[in-house]
Amino acid sequence: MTLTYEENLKELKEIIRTLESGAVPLEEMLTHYERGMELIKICEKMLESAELKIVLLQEP
Amino acid sequence: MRPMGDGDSGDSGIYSVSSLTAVIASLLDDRRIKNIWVEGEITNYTHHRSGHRYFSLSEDPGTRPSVIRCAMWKSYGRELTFSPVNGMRVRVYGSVDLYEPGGEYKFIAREMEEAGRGEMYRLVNQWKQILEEEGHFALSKKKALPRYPQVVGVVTAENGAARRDIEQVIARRFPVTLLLSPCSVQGSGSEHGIAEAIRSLDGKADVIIVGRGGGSFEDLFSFNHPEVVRAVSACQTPVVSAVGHEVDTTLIDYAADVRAPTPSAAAEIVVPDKKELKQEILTLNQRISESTGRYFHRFHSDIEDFRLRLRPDRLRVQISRDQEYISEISDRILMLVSRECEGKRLILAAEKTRITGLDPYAPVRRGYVLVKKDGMLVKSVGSLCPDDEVSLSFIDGSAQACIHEVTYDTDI
Repeated sequence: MTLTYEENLKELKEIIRTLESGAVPLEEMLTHYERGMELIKICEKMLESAELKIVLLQEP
Repeated sequence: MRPMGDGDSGDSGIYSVSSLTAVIASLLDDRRIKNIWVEGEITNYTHHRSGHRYFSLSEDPGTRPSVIRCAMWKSYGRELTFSPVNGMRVRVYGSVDLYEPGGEYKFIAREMEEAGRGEMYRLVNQWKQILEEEGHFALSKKKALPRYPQVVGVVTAENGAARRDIEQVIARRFPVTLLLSPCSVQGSGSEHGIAEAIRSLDGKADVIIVGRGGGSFEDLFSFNHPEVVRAVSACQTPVVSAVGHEVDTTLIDYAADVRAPTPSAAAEIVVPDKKELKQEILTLNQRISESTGRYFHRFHSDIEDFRLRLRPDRLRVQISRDQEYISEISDRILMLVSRECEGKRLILAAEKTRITGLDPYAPVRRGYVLVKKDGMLVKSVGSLCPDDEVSLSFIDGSAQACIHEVTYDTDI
């Protein structure tokens, strides 16, 4: 299941908050960092690939 | 068809604009439309900066409204005893005149008196009251808009300016899928179409924009209709209303979750700006790098710190400091001890002097004799009896003697 932009951003912000609190062991910090960078890439890609689509509502 | 008349059309039989205008002017020069009273409802009222007032008089909103454009020049407007507002029912005195540069006729008003609130406004106010009582405007009903919608529903005219504006703004800010539910947005009966378009979009989009471009009060009237307001209110999907311009307010504005001043503004409200989002991502990227950087820096500096603290030099310094301390302590102990010994020695010498004074042989040296009996010093004549053997100690020797007689100085 693909997450929405909002969910990705939320996770990213949480990771950053955890890292900035400075209370994470080294190994965990590295995991967080990798996940954070991955989320940044995902979000950027989502922004890049967004395109305007116009759909006329079909009456049921 | 050739124009009839007195030859204004010239030889070619074709009117010039000015000559046709002159004909229209002469047609309007009719007693029936000069210096008359007319009654109607004020709409589209503006008090222009120049001081002139422009408005329309309208009538009969239900079927086909009739509208007459009016102007009241500054000098006449000053005489007004009340402030005209939209919806006011008024009687106006003046004449219909042709405004040649604009190609339109206007009622030039010279006097105005109030005839009661206008029908359309009264109707809107009635509806507003009813709908409010039904709870459609309750603030507690307002839903929050999604920050990052993926599908934006749009209820507006298929080929209207509003649709174009919304598409442009969304394409520029944050392209998403627009789900259009087109409908007619003005004219009698359009309220059914608008309400139906809203209902059919509900649940199919993340947020719905309902609106249209600017227009007169009559043009926007359907957005006051209870059927439309109830459809907005019943929506599960958040609704943004965007009817007309900033100054226009219709009843769906009260029922919508958010009221946008214009369709373009609605589009800006419903989608975020991609540029800002990119900037946000950039900032987050910076923060994550900085915080991990700080981590590494901290770990490094911890290690460096430990390394420095474990350096042999440092330990040697510590040891020599300890040694110094010990030698200092031992010096102090020695000093204390020797001072103590000296004191003791002094005391000893004094004692010795004192003891010397107590030498039992000192009197003997001066010529006294010590008498001992059985090795014990005889201090009293009472310890002697006749025939006792005693020894006499002199400074230079001793002698044995026998006691012949004992005499007491006092009676016993």
